[in-house]
Amino acid sequence: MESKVQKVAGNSHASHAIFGNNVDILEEILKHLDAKSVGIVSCVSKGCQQAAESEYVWKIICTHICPSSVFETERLQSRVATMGGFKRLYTNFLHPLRSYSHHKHCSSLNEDVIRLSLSLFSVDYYERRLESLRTRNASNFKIHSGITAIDQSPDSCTDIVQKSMKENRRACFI
Amino acid sequence: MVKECKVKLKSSDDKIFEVDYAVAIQSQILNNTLGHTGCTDSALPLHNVSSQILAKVIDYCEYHVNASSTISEKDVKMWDQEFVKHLDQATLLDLLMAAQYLGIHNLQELTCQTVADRIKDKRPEDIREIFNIQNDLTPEEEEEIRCENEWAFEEEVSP
Repeated sequence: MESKVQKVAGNSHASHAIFGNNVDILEEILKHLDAKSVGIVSCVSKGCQQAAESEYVWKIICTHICPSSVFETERLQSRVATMGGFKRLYTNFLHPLRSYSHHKHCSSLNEDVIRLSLSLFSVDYYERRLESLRTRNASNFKIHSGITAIDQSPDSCTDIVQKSMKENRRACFI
Repeated sequence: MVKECKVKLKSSDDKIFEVDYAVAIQSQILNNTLGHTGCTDSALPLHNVSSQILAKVIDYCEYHVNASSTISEKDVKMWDQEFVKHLDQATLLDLLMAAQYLGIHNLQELTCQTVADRIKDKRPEDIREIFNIQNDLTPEEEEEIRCENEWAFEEEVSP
């Protein structure tokens, strides 16, 4: 590796070293690429991996493959950001649907695929939230009820769980 | 009001270049500097840009200052493509860094697009080779990233 770097003449040695780690510049380059290439570039170096995670890049990729300007509205952009981000939207939903749709060789997606992806993306977000609530409630249940739960009849156990969930639900949405 | 004065620029290796005001202000950095100081006789030092690269940047800016009003968009695009076509990787990267440093938006976009075109459809090993990027990932880290991005490495499957 060292000898390769030495072969480069003049200023280029310095600028190559900067280039490989300059995440801002790498993002500016990646935004011109398709999704598949960005995925591949993420394996090149730490700087490339960081740039390939950038929401700035994935927002542009998603916007390019959508025929209408649906991803360009601020409202939708902030919703997508809250629910997991454009990278997750693409890799988990747009990409698989795109692979199976009739238009897999087209550069842009049809409206139905986009709508379906957004719906599934929302469902995925709420499922993850529900799961984290369940996990939190399960651990709270263990704290509140302790060993006495073993002596309780099944009906009373349900009461304890429901009471605990009610308390937590109130806490979560305050 | 169009300023008629000349602007002197000094490269990192101390060569002086003289350009028209209109050419110089295509760089956001120079635009800001000249806005404060006005036209002076002293040369503006550009510590991060060598004479070889500065000459190319000036070529680009001189063409584009005249192009906006007189030449068709199609011809401008063709000129741009010719401008970057035969650049070796090192020069292309140097030009990209210079465009970013000087704040020349359209040159930055052009060089970024060109680098992207050269990266597209290449494997990680090839990209490292072409652009002389050091692999600072451990084999485990690289494997983990490949697994996370498995979808990108898959061949297209027909339904």
